[in-house]
Amino acid sequence: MRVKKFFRPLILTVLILVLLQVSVNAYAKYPSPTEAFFVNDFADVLSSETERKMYALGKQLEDKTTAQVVFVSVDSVGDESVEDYSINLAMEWGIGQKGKDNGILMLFVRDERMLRIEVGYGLEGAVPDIKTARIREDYIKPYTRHDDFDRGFLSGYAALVHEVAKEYGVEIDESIDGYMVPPEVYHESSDDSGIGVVFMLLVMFLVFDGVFFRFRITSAIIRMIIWSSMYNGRGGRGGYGGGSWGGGGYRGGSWGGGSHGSGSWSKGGSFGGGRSSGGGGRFGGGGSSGKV
Amino acid sequence: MSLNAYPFGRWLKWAVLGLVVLIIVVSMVSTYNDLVTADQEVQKSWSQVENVMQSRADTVNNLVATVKGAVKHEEKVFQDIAEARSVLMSGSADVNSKMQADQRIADATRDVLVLVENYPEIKASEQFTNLQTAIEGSERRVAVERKRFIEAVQAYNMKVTRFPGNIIARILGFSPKEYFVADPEAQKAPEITF
Repeated sequence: MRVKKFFRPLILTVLILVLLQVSVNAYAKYPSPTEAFFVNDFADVLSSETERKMYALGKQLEDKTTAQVVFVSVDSVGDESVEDYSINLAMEWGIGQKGKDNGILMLFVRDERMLRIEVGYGLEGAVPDIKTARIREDYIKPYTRHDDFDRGFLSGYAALVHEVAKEYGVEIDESIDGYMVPPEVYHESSDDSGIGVVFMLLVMFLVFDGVFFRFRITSAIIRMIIWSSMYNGRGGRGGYGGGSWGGGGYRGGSWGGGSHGSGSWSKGGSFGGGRSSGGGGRFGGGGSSGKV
Repeated sequence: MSLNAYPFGRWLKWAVLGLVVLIIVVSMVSTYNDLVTADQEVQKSWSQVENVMQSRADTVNNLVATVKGAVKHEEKVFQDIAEARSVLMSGSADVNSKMQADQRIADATRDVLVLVENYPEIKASEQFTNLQTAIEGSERRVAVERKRFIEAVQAYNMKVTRFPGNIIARILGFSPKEYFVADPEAQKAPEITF
């Protein structure tokens, strides 16, 4: 058989390729936003009353302008600098609208008592660095100096919201009626690279089976699927057993999806594939940071 | 039942072979597209770096304007800044010389800020406080954009040099890009304490 001569090297090449693709999958871990999104008090420095007020302001601003001002408090940022953590978090959460880049992140790091106000590209004109430093010094620090984080962050947050509203020429009213904070439910982080991985594993399995077992395993599985469908047809088995054989049928289904799957396979090879932060506004290091 | 142990084996072999060929073709096309995209990303992020470097140079220039009147005998550092700034503003300078010029501006800025320590009346002025914030901000922006540029170059280079992209890249004439690697010590933002 002539085919055999180049079949095995080819198979091995593909296996190595697939392994290389799978190995590029590691991300730095940041918390997922809460359901409230505008207020994420992970370090628990705010009362729920303050969170409610901040949420009302933030939601109102988004409704009127599409801009997003997000407050996050964390206990610590680990090895990263506050600045790096804040920009990475802001990009990862996609704060602000895509294309408008109109997001602001207000990040408080409790163990360092550092506050960073990170301003998206689109708002650097409305809220220049000096303004963020002003807000920190004049609106936040007078309260946080006496450990009154509630009033400090609320007044700082409100100042940012008003600054953005001014840029868009809208009024923000202070009443919080009509704005309910959603319960704190954490988002499931979705992982859309799953299909690609399943497909790769399937191909690897087929290749292994072909090279070492001459497709005995696959043949056996296909035979089982056929048998089980025959059983199903006669209705001789209970619903439970039939259902589990149906799972085997899924494998067969993946076969048909070959071309679609290989498309996502090549996509998985692109740098930083999988979960991307492409959904939101971009940040370029605007803003300022300082102790509060 | 047939006694043949793998009745589907022959058919499967060709199916798998076809699949393998399909994967190779698709990955070749997508590698080419990836390379073009990565190359454009490098260009784009470099022009972003140039922007923020120039605006940093302008901010530092404002600092110099504020300080220069009071400080008579420290001409060298001001001259350094002026020279580096002209490199950054020129259209012809290459990546490395611009990166170096930016580094010189960063170093000189530190010197100027140390100098200001001796002039309490400047230090206390609101104008200076604002400049200080602006300088920190522009430093941060340079750091961010430079990091993205380096990442873009690394991503591109990885695509060009890593198997199997390297084979296709060589055929299509893509080659790795060199980039400036700043001395990690110098890359830290100057510690400004007042």
